[in-house]
Parts: sequence; C-alpha cells; structure tokens
Amino acid sequence: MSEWSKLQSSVSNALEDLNLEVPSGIKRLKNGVVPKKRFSVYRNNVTLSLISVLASTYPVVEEIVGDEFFATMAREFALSHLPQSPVMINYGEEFPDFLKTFAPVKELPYLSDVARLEWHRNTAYHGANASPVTIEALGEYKEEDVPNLSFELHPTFALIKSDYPIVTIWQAHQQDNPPEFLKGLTMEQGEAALIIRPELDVLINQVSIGTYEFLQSLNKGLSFSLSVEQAIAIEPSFDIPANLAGLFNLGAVTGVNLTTTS
Amino acid sequence: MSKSTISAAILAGAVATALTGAADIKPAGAADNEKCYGISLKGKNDCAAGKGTSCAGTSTIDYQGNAWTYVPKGTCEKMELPGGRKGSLKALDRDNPA
Repeated sequence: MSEWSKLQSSVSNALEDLNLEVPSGIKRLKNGVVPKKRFSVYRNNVTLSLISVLASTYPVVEEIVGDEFFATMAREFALSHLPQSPVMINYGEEFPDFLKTFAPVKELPYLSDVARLEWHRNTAYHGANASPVTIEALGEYKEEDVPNLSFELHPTFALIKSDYPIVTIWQAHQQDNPPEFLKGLTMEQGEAALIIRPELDVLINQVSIGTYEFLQSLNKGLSFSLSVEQAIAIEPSFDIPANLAGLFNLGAVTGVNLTTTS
Repeated sequence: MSKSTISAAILAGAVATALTGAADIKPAGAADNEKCYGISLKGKNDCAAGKGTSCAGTSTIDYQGNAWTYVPKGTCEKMELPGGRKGSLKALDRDNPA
C-alpha cells in the first residue's frame, strides 16, 4: 500500500472512530501536531452531513420528534451505520429498523412505520421510469383466459401495512401545521398504502386491507383469480371492477401476461 | 397452487365493468405532467453548501453524553396513544460515555 493510500485510510478510520487519535500523517506546516479538537471539525462534518441526508429522507419523522431530537437520534444512527456506498440517495435504509429498537422513542410505536413509508417514498422517487399499459389491454383476452392473467407492476410500486394509522399521520404532515384531528386519531387503527411514482410525483394512496392483499398477491406474480381470492378472503365486499380500474388508472400496470393454467 | 374458486365469468364480468367505466372510479393519481423534474422532494436537490457542510462544523460533538435531556418537541405531542399516554417522552437516564 502506498504512503498516500495508507494516509487516506487512516484519515477515514479516524473520521469514523471518535476514540482514535489524529492520524500521524496529518501535520500542520508550523508546529507539526494537529490538535484533536481541530481534527474533530472534520469528524463532525461527516456526521452532520449524514444527519442532513437522513433529515431530507425522513422529514415527517423529523417533524414528529422535532429537529433537535431528530439530530440527536440521527447522530446515534449515523455513528453505527456509516454509508456503504457513496450514493447518498441510498443512505438510511436501516433507519426504520433502528427506530424500532431505539429506547428513547419506544413510546412512539408508530414512528418506525412512518419512517418505512418515507423510505418507500424515497425509493419510489429515485426508481426507474416505465410506461404503463391502459386497461384496454384486458379487452383482448377471452373470458376463459381472464383468470390466468398476471400483471407486471411498475418498478416504483411498493406496498406498506402498519398496525398504526401511518398514512393519516403522514398526510397530516404534508401541511404546514399538522391539524388538530391528530388528537382524536385512534392509534389502534392500522392502515395500508400503496406507493408509486407513475409520472413525476410520488403518490401515496391509502388502500383497504382487501386491496392490499390483492396488490400484494399480484406483486408476487399470482394470477388475477388467485389475487382476487386472497382479497375476498380478508375483505368479503372487495370490489373487483373498482380495484381493477383503480390500478390501471394509477398507471401501476406495465404489462399483462397470460400464464399457462396449472 | 390451488385452483381458484372464483369463476371465469365473474372475473371477465369485472373486467368488462371496469372497461366500460361503469366502475365509476376516478383515477387515483391523475399525474401532473407540467412540473419540472426534481422539484417534488424538498431537500434532495439542495446544493451541498447548505446545512451540514463545513460551515456547520464545530469542534465539539453536539448532543453527546447527556443528549437525551432532549425530548421530542415535535408533532408527536399532538398525537395520543392508547391508554391515555401522551405522545411525548421523558428524558431517559443514560450513562454518559466515560
């Protein structure tokens, strides 16, 4: 290893580990030694930039706990989860799991799931574009083939389900002042949502539990009929035409295939 | 894989209904094509010279040690939890690093 790359890795190690001394290759022109305090400026910059990335990916979590608390919490996360890639849009995937186990927020049990929703939004935002097919594509199939159709879903398509009203909480935070109705929110009320970016904006649509099962099954590659069956099993009043039209109108379907009967 | 119990006629009927628009569903996401790319997600396109870069650097690590004297002061206070608990926290007693 060259002297230069040795110095680079010792700097990078020292930036990550607060207990390490200033790397010996770092010198001042005068006086030689760099005080630890000065080197700490660089350590702090690394951490602050990671906190700032987390804050831009998780703005609702930040609003829920306040920015001071968020910065502190994000710092704890960042110190134990340094980026594995230079691409910052991918940083912070483990943050929702971290929140689940992080004792200081254990009384905000919905926080981790709100963060998961925000992560999906981040992923959808940066996901690939794709051209949807319209619902007319279904008109080409014969009646006996309809049950065996399967749908290709948009690359940014994602689903989330929570034991808490995370969609309502998220939506309330899209306004400058989260409304007072949050006070009356029933925390036992679980919610599900589909997240997708068919065009330029990420859409977060709350869905019923039946729709969630339907979409989850389609997303796994199950046939139309089996997916409908899953949905009806959990939601007897599941409205097939409405869900079908809703899915296509959303731009969520990018292909229709006929799978062979098993 | 189990055979579906829902008849082809029902499913084809649903497709037909959806096709004729009788389902009366408004597009869940009528996408707006007019917007410029990249303006939707706040914060992501900020130049790196803002908060969090060198100007924000200090030689002391903020919030260390007794950090958890901070309590959430955000909107969690507006949310109520089951059992009458308020969505706010007490500071947690926590050992400071030696």
